[in-house]
Amino acid sequence: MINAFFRRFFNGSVSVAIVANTIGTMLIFALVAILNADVVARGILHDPINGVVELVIFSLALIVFLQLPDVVRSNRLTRSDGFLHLIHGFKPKVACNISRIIDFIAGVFMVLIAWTVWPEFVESYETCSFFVAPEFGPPLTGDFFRDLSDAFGRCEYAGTPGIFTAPTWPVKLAIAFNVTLCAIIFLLKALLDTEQALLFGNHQKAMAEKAKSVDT
Amino acid sequence: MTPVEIGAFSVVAIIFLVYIGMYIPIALGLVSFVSIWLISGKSILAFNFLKVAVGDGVEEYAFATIPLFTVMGLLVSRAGLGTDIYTVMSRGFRKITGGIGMATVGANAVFAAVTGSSIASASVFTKISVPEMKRLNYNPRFAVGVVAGSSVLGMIIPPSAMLIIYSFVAEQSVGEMFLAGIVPGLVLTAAYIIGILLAGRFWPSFIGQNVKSTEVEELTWFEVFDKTVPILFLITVVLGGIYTGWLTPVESGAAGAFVALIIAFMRKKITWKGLWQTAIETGHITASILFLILMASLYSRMLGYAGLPNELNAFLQEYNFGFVTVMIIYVLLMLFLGTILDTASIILIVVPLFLTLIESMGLSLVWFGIVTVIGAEIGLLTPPLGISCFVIKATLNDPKISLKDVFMGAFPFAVIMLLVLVLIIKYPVLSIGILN
Repeated sequence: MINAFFRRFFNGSVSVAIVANTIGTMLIFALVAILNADVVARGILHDPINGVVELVIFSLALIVFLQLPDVVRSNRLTRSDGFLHLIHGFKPKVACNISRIIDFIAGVFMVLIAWTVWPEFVESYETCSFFVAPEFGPPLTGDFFRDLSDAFGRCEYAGTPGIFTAPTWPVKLAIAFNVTLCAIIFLLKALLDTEQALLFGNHQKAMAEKAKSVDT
Repeated sequence: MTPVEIGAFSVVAIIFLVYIGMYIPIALGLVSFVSIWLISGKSILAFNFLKVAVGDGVEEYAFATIPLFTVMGLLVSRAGLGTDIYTVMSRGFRKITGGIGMATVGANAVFAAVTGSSIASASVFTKISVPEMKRLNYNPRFAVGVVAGSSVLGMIIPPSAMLIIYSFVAEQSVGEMFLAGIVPGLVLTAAYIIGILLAGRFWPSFIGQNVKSTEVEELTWFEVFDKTVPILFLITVVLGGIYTGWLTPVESGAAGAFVALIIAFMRKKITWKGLWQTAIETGHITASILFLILMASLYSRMLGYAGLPNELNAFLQEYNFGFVTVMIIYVLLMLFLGTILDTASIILIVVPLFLTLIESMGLSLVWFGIVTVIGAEIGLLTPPLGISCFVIKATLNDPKISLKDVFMGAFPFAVIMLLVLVLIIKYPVLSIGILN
C-alpha cells in the first residue's frame, strides 16, 4: 500500500523530470541560435545584440538544473562503477544494497543543497513584492498589468542597467525546484527497490549504452 | 585534528568513496561540506560555502563551451565525418606496413579537432577500422590497441572536454588551453605513427602475420574534396576563430555546432528525431559535467580553507625537492590514480592541491594543464578502469577479442604517451610556445 503510493509518487516525479528535461533541451538550441545571431550581427552588421552574455549565463543555469533530475533518473550522474560491477558479479544483493545506500546519501546531500538555496529564491522573489504594497516607490494602482510591470521593475536583477537586465528569481526558482526534485528521486530510488538489478546487469552492456549514444 | 589533517583526510575519503561507486560530485560536495563544518565548528559556514558553490557557481560565461562543443562533437559523429577522413587517410597510407594503423591514428587526430571526447573517437573508429584490419590479417591486439591509443587524441587535441575542465579548476582561459593543446596533440600523433613504423620494421609479429595491403578503391579528386573539405572547414572555423581572436571559445563552439548541423543536414545524415536525441544527450552531458565542476569548486575552496595546498608547498620546499622530483612525484601520482579514477576526477581532485606549488615554482599553469591532461589520460588505457578500452570492447561485441587483449594492445601506446609526456614536461615550449 505504502509502497504503491511511493511508486506513484516516483512515477510522478519522473514525469516532472522529463518535462524539465524537454525545456532544458530546447534551451540548447536557443543558445546556439543566439550566439550565432550575435556573431553575424557583430561581425557583419557591426551591431552586436545587447545582453548576449547575460542570456547565455541564464540559459546555461537553466539547462544545467532543468536537466539534472533527468540525469539522476536515468542513472547518468558521473561515477566510477567498476567496483560495484565487480561485486555484482558474485554478490548481486550486496552490490544493490551498497548502491541503495549511495543513493540515500546522495538524496540527503541534495536535501542539504535544497535547504540552502530555497531562501535564496524566496529573498529574490520578495524583492519584487508582487501584488503587495512595496516598501519604496509608488503604491499599488489597482490596475493588474500596471502593478505587475511595476513589480518586475523592482525585482533584484542581473545584468547592466540601461543595456540588459533580467530578474534573478526565475533562475533561483529553477535551481531550488530541480535540486528538490533530484533529492526526491534519489531518496525514492533508495527506498524503492527500483530495478537496480537491471541497471547493473552487465558492465559491458552499460558501456555499450554509453557508446551507442555516439552511434554513427 | 588540525585543519590540515582534516583536509588531507578528506582527500583520502573522497578517493575511497569514488572508488566504491559514490557519485563523484556527491562525494566531492558532501566530504567538503562536512570538512568545512568540522574545521570551522560552525554549520553556517558550511551551508554558505554550499550556497555559493551551487547558486553563484554556475554563473560563468565560459561554461557555455561545454554544451556547445558537446553538441558539435555529437553532430559530426552522426554526420559520418570520421569515416570520411579515415577513407582518405587509408588511401594515402595504403603502401606501408601497418598503414591502416597509421591511417587510424591520422584520422583520429583530424577527428579529434572537431570533437572533444575520447569515447566518441573510440566508438566511431572501433566500428570503422577494427573490422578492416581483422580482414587484412592484422593482429587483433594491434587493431584494438591502435584505436584505444589514438582515441586519447580526442581529449588532447582541442576542442577537448578535459582542457575545458582544467581551465575552470585552474582559472585559465579556455582559448589559451585550446591553443596550447595543438602542438602536443600533433607530437603525440607523430609519435604514434613513428611507433607503428618502427614496429613494422622491428616487431612485425605485433602488427600481424601475412598482412595484406589495403585494396582501397581509387578515389576521384572530387571524392577526396567531398570527404575532406567539410571537416577542414569546421576546423578552420573553430580553431581559426579562436586563434585570430575573432571568436571567443564560446562563440566558436556555437559557430562550430551550427556548421556541423548544416553539414549533417546537407548529407541527410540526421533526422529531426536524431537532432532531438543529440540535444538531449548534450543536456545530460552538460548537466553532469557542470554539476561535477560546481562540486569540485566547493572542494577546492575547502582545500584552500584547510590550508592544504600551502602546507604541501611548504613540505616539498622544506625537503628542497627540485623540479624533477616534483614532476616525478606528480606523474607517478597521476598514473596511480589513473588506475582507480576516471580522467575528469583525477584533474578535479589533484590539480587544486598542486596549483599553489606550481605557481610558486614560477611555472606556467597552461603548460601544467597540458601535462595534467596527458598524464591523467594515460589512465584511459590502463586496467582496471581504462574507459577507452571498455568502450572498444563493448562496441566491438566480438567474444574472440577479450578485454585483456584490448589492454595488452593498448599498452605500447600508453608507453609512447608516457614518453611524449616526458618530452612535454622537458620542453614547455611545445605547449606554450604557440601563445607568444
